[in-house]
Amino acid sequence: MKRFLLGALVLLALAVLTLGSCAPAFLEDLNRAAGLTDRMTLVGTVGAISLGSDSSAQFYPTKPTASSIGDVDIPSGIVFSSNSGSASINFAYNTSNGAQTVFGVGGPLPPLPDPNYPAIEIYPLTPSSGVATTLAVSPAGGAYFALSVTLPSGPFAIGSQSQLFLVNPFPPPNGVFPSGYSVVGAQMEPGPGGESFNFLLFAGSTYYIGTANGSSSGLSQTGTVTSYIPGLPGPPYPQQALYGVTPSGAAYASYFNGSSWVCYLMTSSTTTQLTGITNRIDAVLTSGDFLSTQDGTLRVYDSTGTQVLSRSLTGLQYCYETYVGSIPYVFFVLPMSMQHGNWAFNVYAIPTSQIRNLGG
Amino acid sequence: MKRLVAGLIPALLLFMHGMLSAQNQTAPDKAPRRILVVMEAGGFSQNELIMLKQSFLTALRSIPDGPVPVDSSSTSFPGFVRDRNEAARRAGADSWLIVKVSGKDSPSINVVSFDLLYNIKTLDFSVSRHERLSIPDLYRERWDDVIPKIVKTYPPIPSIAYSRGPPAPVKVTIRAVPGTVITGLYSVPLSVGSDGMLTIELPSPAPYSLRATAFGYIPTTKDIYLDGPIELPLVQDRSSWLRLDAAFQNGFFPGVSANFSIPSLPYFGRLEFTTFRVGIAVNQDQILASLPLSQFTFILGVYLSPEDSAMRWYLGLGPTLRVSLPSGGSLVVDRLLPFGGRVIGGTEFLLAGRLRGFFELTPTLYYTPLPALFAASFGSNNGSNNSSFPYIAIPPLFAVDVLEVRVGVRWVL
Repeated sequence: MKRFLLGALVLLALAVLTLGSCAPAFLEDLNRAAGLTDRMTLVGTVGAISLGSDSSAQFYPTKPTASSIGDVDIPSGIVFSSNSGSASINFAYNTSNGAQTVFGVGGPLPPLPDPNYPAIEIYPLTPSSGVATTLAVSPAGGAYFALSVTLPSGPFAIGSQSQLFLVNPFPPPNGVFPSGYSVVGAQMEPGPGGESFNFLLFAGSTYYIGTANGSSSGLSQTGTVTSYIPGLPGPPYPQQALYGVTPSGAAYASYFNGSSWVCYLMTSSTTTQLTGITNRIDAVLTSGDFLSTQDGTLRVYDSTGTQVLSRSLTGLQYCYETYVGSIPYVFFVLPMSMQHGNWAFNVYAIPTSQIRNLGG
Repeated sequence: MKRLVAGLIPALLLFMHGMLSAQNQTAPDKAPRRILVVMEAGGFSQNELIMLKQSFLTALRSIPDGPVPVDSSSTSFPGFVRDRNEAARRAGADSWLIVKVSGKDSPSINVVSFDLLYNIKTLDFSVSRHERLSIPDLYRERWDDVIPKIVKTYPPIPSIAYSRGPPAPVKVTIRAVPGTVITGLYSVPLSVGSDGMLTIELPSPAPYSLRATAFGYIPTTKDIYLDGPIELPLVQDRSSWLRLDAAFQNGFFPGVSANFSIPSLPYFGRLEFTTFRVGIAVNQDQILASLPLSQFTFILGVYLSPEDSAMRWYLGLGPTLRVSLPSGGSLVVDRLLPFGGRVIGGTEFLLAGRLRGFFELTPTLYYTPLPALFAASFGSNNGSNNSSFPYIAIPPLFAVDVLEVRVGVRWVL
């Protein structure tokens, strides 16, 4: 009997040790970013989705429609994944039964430009009634192009530089723009009642700025050129710039001048360099602060260009600033790499007014 | 997989060594008993009786340290005990055994035995079987319902037992820790006095088995063959209040733990630490896994077996906490499965000296504040979730890992 018991124990040990040789469930990316995400609100998890052997991924969540941050639950977004210099674009969303679905919606994209430039700037608009338009503007191969997709399954369209505003449903400018223009900078400007698309054009030897109004159903109004800007560099003009406008009307341009990042305050008559800003600006916030995420470091500058915050993003990526109800929030995403080539994405939000508190 | 097997083998050898070491403890100065075996059967042919008897003798001989059967070629055994004793002595045996088998369809087996050394009838019992005795298979009969009782009745004894005088009371003086309670000699427990001595009278010659327990000391059992007055000093080791473990958890992730206990009480407290910086895992892309994760567990448990048991079983439960030091980050409580509750059930066994081996099942219930991400962390086939093995999800906020195990060595300080 004792021998039988010993034999049974040995077999049990063998079986359990073999079956139990499993690594525990664990996400290092999640813990690495905990110092920042603990101060934010988790507003959605998308994934896991399989991206094959892709080595990196960026996720751009669809914009929320809820009127309070507690009601926000982001179920979907656009995934840019890169592998060996080329990129792919997918739309991913969680289905009602908890599974995930991915649609290939374009690409592979051309090789991305100089990594010192903001590789991709995407401006997803708010989905409405299950069908929405997403506008993405990205410098690729030295040119901008726009992406428009009807969610959740497409169709997806890619427009060229000259077709920027021709992408459905964005109507053509009807001759407002000068001929031969190039878009060199843009940013979506959030607002409680809708969003505006601000853009910076270069034509001939002159820079022009303009805006187009948006709404919850997408960009729907004709773009207009409101003025021209003197004082910015001449040809070769910066091809990948960020152009942003604050609610007070101040306009800024951030671009790489060939040796360093510069930022200019622009008026209709002058341009003034903000010498305190030496990093790429990713957003001009509604608070008037500048937000930079260059090289994985979160930096915040006040409206004079003085740095007020600098700390590691610990893997977080900036998404956009948008209003939830009457309060502007800054959204970040945490891409989490998993085994077997899978990725999941946590989306976090923090009120714009508290962005400076992330440093302490 | 080869690496996994290669890693398993040393652990299993260690495990088996401990098991076997705990069993092989026969004193070298003892001799097996010799027992005259007589088989009687009703309703069986002569050949069938021979087969029955041969199977019985074979089964008895196969027991290590069991009594040595002396075959009686005669099927007619004397009816009186005195004559049976004489027959046994002539056959060179120190005891005799009669096995009576009645019937084939529902056989009844009666066993009677007498010990010539102590002049007492030792066995008289019957067993009934519901299965028919298969004649062609008689030679394979194992006698599992009879043999163990015979073996237990006739353990090996010192050679001196064969030259005894007439039984008479003799004085036995036991030296032990003051307050030690002695059981097994009298029908009531005896206590060692404050002077560390206990003096009693016991019939001699005769074998005895006593058990000594004292607060703060490991209980001890001692078998003696009493053959005249004796002074018996008991060796009593102090109970340990601290045991240190080195262990592997779940696929050879290393860890250490300290077990604290109050001597002589069966309860213990344990603080465990396990690191997942290096280990073997079959559910990863690479079998050699390295995670910046550590786990602290506090266990309150109780031993189910006495401290001097060859295999000591125990149960316990307590909370567990996972902490992480990710590259580029700070030390944090894990955000995916921050804490949980663990139940343990295990056994420890003697390896050598104060070193013991142990094996535990440690199923753990984890709390997750991020159930969607927890489900996603097992990957996806883009449309259907992958298996969450070895976890079993308990929606909405819990998951249990039923296959967690710990195997290791325990140093008793």
